[in-house]
Amino acid sequence: MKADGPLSDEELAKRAAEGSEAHFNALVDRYTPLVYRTALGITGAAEEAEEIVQETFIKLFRNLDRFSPEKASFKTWLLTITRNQSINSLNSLKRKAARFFSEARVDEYGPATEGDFPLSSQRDAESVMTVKQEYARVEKALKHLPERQRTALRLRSIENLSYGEIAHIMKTSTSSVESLIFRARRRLLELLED
Amino acid sequence: MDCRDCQQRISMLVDGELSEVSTQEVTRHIAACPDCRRVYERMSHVNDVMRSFADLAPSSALAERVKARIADERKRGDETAFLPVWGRVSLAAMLILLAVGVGNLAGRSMNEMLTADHSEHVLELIAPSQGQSFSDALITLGTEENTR
Repeated sequence: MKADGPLSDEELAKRAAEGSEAHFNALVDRYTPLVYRTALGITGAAEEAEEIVQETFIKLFRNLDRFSPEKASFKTWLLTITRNQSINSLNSLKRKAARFFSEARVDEYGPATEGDFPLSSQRDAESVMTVKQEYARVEKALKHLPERQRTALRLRSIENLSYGEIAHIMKTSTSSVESLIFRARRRLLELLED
Repeated sequence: MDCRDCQQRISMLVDGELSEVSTQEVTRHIAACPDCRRVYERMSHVNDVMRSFADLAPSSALAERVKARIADERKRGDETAFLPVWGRVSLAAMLILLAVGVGNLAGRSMNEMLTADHSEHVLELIAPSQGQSFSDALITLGTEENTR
């Protein structure tokens, strides 16, 4: 059986919780890209992100009966699970990395090197840089932000979530989200200018 | 409004999270301040680049793998649903119950082993070899005591 029409997330979740496989699958189709991008943004590892997607949906499946639309939207709830799963994975990745690298790290991805970003003298060439190159440059710079700043900025700029929704997912206040996003952008500009 | 305050508000302006009044204040500041104007332009540019990240999607095979894993999960759930209640008890709980059960059986055997000789002596006293039943022997004992 296929799910009919563009039902709301909450309606799909309700029917999925009642046992409908088709409605659960519709949620999987609708949200796999978002969950993947969020996991990838936090961990920076594609293979890990795919595993997180699977674990997130399994957790969702097991806990669907606990979803309460009065407390949060389905999307917010799903992204909260995704972030928790991703942070667990990130911590595990960090532990693995620590076994291989004993030197102190400035942040979770290590200090930026000159080779990571174009030198000032190269800035003139930015105007002719392809979108793809610019994309890669920003993506690389993003990896140098602390996890909270990076996640807040990605949820806002890429996923278009409101400050209130981000605050709910990150279990913080709206004013903290404002500050996280501002600091993320300021640091990003510094990294891209260096 | 100083430049730092303005730049924090620029970030909110880029996100469309600023009130109308604040938007006007920031716009006025940007018009008069080249540094803040440059920050606005660069923040807007990076934001535009990041928006294009939304096009990034995993292969459709990933969603299919998720569905397959959920189907397995659902199947396992259906299988356990047919079991009686005790069948759905977690493995850990079942092992504990098993351990307690085995422990009790073992304890009883030990008691029986330890008291075996003693019981036989008692039985010999109260039911020697006349083919009397246990209750007959007790009655006899009782009668003897009563007659003393």
